[in-house]
Amino acid sequence: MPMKLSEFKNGIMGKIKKKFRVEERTGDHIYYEIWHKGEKIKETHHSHGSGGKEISDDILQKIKRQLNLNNIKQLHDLKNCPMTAEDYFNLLKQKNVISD
Amino acid sequence: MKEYNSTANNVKIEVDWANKKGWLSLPIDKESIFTKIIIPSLFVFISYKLGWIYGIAYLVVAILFDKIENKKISSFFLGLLKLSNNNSSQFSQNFMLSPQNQNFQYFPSSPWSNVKEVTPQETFELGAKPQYVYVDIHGAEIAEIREKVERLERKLEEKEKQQIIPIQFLESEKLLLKQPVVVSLVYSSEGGLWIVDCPELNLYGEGIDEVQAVNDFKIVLEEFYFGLKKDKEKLGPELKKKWDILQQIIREK
Repeated sequence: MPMKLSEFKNGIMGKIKKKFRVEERTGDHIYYEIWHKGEKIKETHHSHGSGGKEISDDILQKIKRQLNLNNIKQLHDLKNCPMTAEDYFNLLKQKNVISD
Repeated sequence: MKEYNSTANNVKIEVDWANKKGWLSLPIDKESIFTKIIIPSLFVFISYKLGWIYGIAYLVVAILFDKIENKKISSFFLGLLKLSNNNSSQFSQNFMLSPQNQNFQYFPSSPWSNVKEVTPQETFELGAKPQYVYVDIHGAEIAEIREKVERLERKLEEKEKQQIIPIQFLESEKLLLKQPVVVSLVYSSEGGLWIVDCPELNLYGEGIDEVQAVNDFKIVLEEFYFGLKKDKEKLGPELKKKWDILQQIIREK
């Protein structure tokens, strides 16, 4: 299921911001840097909307990989309620992307 | 008291052999109310008042005119007719059957079954109104599954058409590639986009055609490089690895 750019920014990045520091940088694309304890741990990006105002499923697959999520469902769960910022934090910890 | 049910059309007959009485229970719906209620009632009434010859004549005419919809009902009436020939005094306002007909030879055997003994209080069920409603409970599920299968087939087709290509030049004013970067190029019908992907670097580019997608990837690669460079002392383990790879394949002009 495609996702609107605003949903990505407010839903997903908004939620991640609750647990991590997120810096946005703009160039030819919009980049989001995720920081934890003074370290840049993740980076993801999307275009300004070349494919319309929505991010297609295939692009979401790439974003999912950049955010270290297991599947697209988790991405949607992160946008909606089921997955909390704390859950995402634990997931990254499980995958040794971050330490306590 | 014995109850005989027709499983085929919900017709039920209850017979009280001791008192030589019988009850006929027919389901009523709009389509068959005429053939099931009015015709039999008039048949009984005419037969009782005028005699069996008139009753039979009426029934034949009614059947011919109405072209009774339900053949099982008509065979039931034929059974009644035969029964009446054997003993014309057995019918009253209720269908009264004589004990010698207990073998039910005049009723169609196939759809009828002897079900249970019932008490007299349970017997009269003329008001039973079966409603047959066709509910398509699987239609939506099937449509959803079909849509998923079509989507998967499309994906599979796209995957088969995936190309592996090397990117040899960055076309950048600041960076040069030391060695080609191998990427996949695939068309995504969902977004109507071409996607260039490099899982090793965890980067992708997109565009409305192959050239634009490749160019987009080059831009992303360059911005990623400088994004990591500005924070190279503060990278987490994963991005640190990526920075190391980038240093192997890219050099600044």
